[in-house]
Amino acid sequence: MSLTASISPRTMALCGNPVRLDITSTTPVSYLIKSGGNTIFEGSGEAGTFFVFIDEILASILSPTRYSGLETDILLIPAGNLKAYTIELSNTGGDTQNLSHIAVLGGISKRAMRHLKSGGSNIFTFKLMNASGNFLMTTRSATRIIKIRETELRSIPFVAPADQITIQAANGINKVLTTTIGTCYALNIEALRKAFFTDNNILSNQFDIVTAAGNAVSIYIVPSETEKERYFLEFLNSYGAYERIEVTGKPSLDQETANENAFGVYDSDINDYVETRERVVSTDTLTVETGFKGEDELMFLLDMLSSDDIQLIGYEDREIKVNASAESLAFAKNMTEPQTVTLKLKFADSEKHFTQALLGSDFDDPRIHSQEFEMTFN
Amino acid sequence: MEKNKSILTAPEFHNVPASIDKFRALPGKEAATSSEFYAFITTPSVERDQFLAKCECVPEVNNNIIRQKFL
Repeated sequence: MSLTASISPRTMALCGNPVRLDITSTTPVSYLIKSGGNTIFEGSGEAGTFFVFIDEILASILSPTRYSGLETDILLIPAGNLKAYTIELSNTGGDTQNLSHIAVLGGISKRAMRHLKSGGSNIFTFKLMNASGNFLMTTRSATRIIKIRETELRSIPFVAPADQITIQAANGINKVLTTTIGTCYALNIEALRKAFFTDNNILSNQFDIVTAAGNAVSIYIVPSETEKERYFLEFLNSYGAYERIEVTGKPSLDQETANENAFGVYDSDINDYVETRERVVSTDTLTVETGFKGEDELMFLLDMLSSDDIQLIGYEDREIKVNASAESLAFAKNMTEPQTVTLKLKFADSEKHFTQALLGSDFDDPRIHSQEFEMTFN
Repeated sequence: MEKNKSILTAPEFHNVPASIDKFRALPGKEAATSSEFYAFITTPSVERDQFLAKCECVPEVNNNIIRQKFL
């Protein structure tokens, strides 16, 4: 009688990529996948050797954390991005085995996965838990240099690869962050910049992230152009983190209208049928320009285009869930100079009732306006 | 083809108290707080561009990184 089982990749896995549970048992076997004391899946198999992919099951226990941007802590803890779970196996012969593992939100491309596998590596040893490289879960850049526009700052999650991370803003001016290896955090760049501003009297836009292994990655905050109109697309990237991309220029709104559903209603006054219809359902589509993007931002743009959660921010003062597509990316492979890409943003909600954007300021307590403005009344 | 990959950082100030004094010299900003200066200087606007034009820029160049340091 025997029971052996293993999970691949070992120790940690991204739930967007295959996670394989291999079981060998001499008698019929059952297994429970548990997280936080709750059973999330029960499975069983016959005697012999078999495997199951459990990544989709693990995806159900993970959820991305979306920050408002108003957080003041430098290190945030996105609880839903990383979860520990156990698999309890037992067979009818009385053998048992318990496996412990960690699931992390996100995934990498099949091409990258094959490349890493051929080199005997995986995404955790190569990047996410590599204290000497860019371990941040951003798709802006895979190199040691991350460029972020000043209007696109969001907290960037990471799995701590070291127990101490030093952020250098200038010579001799740094902040030391204490972390627990293997725990998921989010680096709040805005709070970091503000902390240096308040504590050290410097406004820095370069942050070198240093671990015991050396200079891991540098973040450069680059200027945004002064624009009359500016919108943001906040999307869930491939690593399960929300990132922002700025789109500028005047958008044009279009409507796709569904076929009208007309039918006849009998009118006894005229003894005939009168054509009438239900309210027509339509879907708004917004066409915007990304503004000039360099070659290095193209992959980031492609990640946004394939995201399953994209919110349009700044349009009608509301967040609007949209599905984005590019009119053409034909130039992408031979891009030698910054280009602007035309994006079509199809609103996720179709509408059959139209009301004005309901703004809070119009529904607050009435305010008094006079030539002699006096705050006492307001 | 050689590609220009230089990185220009957003405006930096390494002596914030002196910069706040300059900011307070602007009309209507006499009583500005450091938080107001922070919000002003980290948000792209025509007013910010005009303010920066009055400050001395001492760029720090390191390979392809150009830090826009203002005095």
